[in-house]
Amino acid sequence: MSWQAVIVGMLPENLLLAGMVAIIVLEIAGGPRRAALPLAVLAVAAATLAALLLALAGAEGAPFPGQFSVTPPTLLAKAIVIGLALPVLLLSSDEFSGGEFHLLLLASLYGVCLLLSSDSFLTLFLGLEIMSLPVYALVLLAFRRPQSAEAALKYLVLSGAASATFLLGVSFLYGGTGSLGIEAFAVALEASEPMAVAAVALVVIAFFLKAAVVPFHTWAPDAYEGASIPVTAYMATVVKAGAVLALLRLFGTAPLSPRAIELLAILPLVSIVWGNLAAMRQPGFRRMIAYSSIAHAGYLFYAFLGAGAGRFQAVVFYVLAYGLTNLAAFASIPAAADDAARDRLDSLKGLFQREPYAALVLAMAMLSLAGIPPFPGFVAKFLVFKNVMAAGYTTYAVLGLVASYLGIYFYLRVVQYAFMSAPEAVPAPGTVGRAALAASVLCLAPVVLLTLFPGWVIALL
Amino acid sequence: MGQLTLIVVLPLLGFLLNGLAGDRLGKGFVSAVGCGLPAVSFLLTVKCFLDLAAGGDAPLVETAYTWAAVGDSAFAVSFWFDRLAAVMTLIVTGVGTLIHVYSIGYMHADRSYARYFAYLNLFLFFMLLLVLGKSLLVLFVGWEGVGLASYLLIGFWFEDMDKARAGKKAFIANRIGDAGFLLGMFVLYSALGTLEMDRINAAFSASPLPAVSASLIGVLLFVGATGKSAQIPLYVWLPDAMAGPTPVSALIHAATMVTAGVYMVARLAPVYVHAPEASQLVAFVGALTAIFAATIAIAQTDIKKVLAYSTVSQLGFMFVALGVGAYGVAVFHVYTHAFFKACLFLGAGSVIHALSGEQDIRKMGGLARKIPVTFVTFLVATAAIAGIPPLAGFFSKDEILWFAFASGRGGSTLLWLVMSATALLTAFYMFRLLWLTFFGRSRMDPEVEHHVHESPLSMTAVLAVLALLSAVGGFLSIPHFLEPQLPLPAVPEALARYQTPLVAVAVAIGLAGLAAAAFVYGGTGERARRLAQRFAGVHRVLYDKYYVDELYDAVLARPLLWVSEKVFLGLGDRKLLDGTLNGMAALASRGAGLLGRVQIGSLQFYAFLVLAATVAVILWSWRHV
Repeated sequence: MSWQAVIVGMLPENLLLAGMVAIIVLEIAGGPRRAALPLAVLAVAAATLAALLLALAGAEGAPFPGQFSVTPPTLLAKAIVIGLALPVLLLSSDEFSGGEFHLLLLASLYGVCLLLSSDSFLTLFLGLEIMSLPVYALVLLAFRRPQSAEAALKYLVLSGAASATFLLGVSFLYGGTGSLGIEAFAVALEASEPMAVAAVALVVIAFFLKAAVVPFHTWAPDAYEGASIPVTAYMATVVKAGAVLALLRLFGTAPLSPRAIELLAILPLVSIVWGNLAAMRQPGFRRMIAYSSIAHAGYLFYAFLGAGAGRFQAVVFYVLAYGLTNLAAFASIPAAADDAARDRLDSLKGLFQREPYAALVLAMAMLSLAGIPPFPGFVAKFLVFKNVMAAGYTTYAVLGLVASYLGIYFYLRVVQYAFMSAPEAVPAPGTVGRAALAASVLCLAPVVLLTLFPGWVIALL
Repeated sequence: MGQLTLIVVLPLLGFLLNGLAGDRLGKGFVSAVGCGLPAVSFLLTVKCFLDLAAGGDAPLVETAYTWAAVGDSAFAVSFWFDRLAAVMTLIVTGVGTLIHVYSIGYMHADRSYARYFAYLNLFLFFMLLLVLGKSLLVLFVGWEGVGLASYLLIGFWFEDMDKARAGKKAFIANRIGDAGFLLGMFVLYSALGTLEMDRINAAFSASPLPAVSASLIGVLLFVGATGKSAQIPLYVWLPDAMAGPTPVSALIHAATMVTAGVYMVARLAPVYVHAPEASQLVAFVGALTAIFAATIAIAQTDIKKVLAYSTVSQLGFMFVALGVGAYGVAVFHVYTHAFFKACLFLGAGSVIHALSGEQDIRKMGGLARKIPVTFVTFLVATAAIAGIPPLAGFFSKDEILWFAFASGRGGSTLLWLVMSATALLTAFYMFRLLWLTFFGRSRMDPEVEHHVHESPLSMTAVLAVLALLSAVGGFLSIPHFLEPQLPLPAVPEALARYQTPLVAVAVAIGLAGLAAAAFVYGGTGERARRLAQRFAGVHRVLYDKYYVDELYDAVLARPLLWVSEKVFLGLGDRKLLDGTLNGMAALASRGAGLLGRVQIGSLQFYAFLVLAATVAVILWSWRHV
């Protein structure tokens, strides 16, 4: 371990840490509460940039050998996930003025970074917990509403179940191989003794719980609904991406055994169908997005079926496209008298007449999430299914494609509300705030890039 | 951005500027952008033309961007500028710019001035894409795009249901042709694996030939050409397209767009060289269309309809030239036709403008003195189309007649006879139009006559330029210029001696048409009335255009509508599709309700679910252990 490696290799983490320290100092010193947001934005932007530049420079290293290492792909994934937090921060400016939100968010991001670089199950567990613990508090931060306490509790308990499952699986692995390194997982994937099989299943289930895959998804609709919009956006994008990318790290690039295929195809397929069906009848935006995110978790795990470099490419591109369009959708929800009104899909009626820009961004986001060309969501789905087909699982690919048709209905319903329905009796006077506008522009610019030059971005991955 | 790309993109910029901001920025801005950008395109084309000449005829090639790369095939948007493209681009941008300028005067009072110029610029963009595209795919995008622009401009005054309907008719007729065009493209792509036209031509110029029937490709692509270039059986849309503003008729439905089919065949000449059956079909359809449309034109009374049928007929001439292998000659006729037909249409526009919208030649007459500039230019253009030497039309038409007679690749005496008869008819109906409009005594309403006035300078100046080009354009021998690229067909030795006598016959035909029209329509017009009465039946059939529209309606449209209504809508759509879809939607909705019920909000239940599922997954994983 050299200090230089720690400083350079962990530069994104260090920058996030510096941001946290600065915010704490600010809080203790009683500085202006408004200053927390710019500080946090600065730290996250710097960390994104650092990760991106390191990735492009081809930085490689192991600051803590056997525990923590970085390679260009992990740095790139890190840059994407941290970058997704930027719009979240901007979205928060209307709801949270204090430093708590920003501090917790940075801490959670730190956990995501650990997760993506961990070489041993200890670091992985540490990352998982550091990522999740602040989120319970974040859900609770919207304590103006009674549901948020309940939502936070549900999330806490079921996340606890995930941690327990994960630890049980890891201990089985340790029992079988005597190692805590993540290579043990790849070995167990090939093995067929009951202990190893159970270990793999338990670890995968833990990540299914974190990423909300049916039937481990039950916490998501309640938690998403209970939390405030920026926190929901954070859970739906960054946390989910962190969990999926961490599992991707465990799986590596090796082709999967038939048992692993079943594990990674059946429940995600159920997830796609379930999420898309259940989203149809949701009256609230956040609940709808929760089910939508359950379906998207299904596609993300589907991408694991492909082998080799294509697997990483498909997952990362999907994370990017899905995260950006989801955040763009959140950024275009107009403010309303109270939170409950803001969440109602009905309040989107006639949005185009009131806020044409927001309505257009929202429509673009919905079409992209539905996977309609030429939006990035389409390219992302195309990559996933292309890989699944290339790996020879045509049946799963066809089933997944058919299931994705179900989703078009509820995405288009939002578009229909925004463009084709007359506004409800008295539309809320709410407008999209300036920070939300910045967030939506921040999402829109890369979305346009992904739409026009998907090949260029894919080549980078 | 390279020069060629700039030529294409400038009109698009004009479309965007005028389309998005034109209404707010006023007419001065709209006119400046709408005419200025095409003018710049024209100047750039001239520059490219000089570059081409300086570069020793190596075609200029430019790739704007790669649209899609699928496997090994890349579909690039590339532009290709050789002699043929140069001629076409000069016509499109040159005549296009003139007609834009003319429109300033013609449309000055229209409410939708900015929209008009936006559409016109959009048309120019797509037309340039069509002409400059290196790949058949780019050509096709332009092909479809000009169809769209044409549709928008025919239905420009869409409040009038008839005009909107005419736009629809044009669109549908073109769609039918496009189906053939698409099939031709599919065959080409599956046989050669490319749509780049230079590679297609190279493949058909090499030996051995590609293992695909050139005639099949030729016929399929020609089906597309019959739609776009208004040949039998799809010509019916062009006369109706006269519903659009007159400058549009001049630009799109006479000078440029309708010649796209001719351009496409000439561009793929190496394919047609190896497709004798397809070439025969092209010549046959061209000749039939030429004489058929010319007979209709004799009995029409709407000034624009006469010109429309004349355009259909002249396009037939061009296809005859293509069919006998004289590709350069066809392009020559495209070139001269662009001048004199644009001049005729714009002259007709000037007449209509002077008469406050009157288009019926039975209500004109005696206009020669009242609008002298329009008259003189119209006279020159009429003489040009009638083939009076030494005007432009004489040269191109004479060459077509010569190759129809003597070409070693399908020329015959019969073809020459048919085309000569058509040329006679052309001279006759054009001078008839001239007489009824400008000579004799006035048959105008007194109210209209009171307001007759010459058009503004922006219109008359354009007319003068076009008349000048119609007069002298023929001295530039386009076939000779294109010969390195499009060689003329060989003429059998034995026929060569007929060339000079046939020129004399061609001149005589033009003069005979003039004389006949002067005889019939000169004086009081009594002879014309008697003639129409004597041949009342024939006159009726010609006046009603052989009832082709009614025939299509009875044979095609009605049965199709019936089948579509009863079978596809009633049985297929309502019962089968709607029924299935509604059933599935109901199922999905019920399923959604069922799934939602899992979400009861009880934490204990959720935790139990997680536990049960975990156990189930582990048991499932263990089943093979």
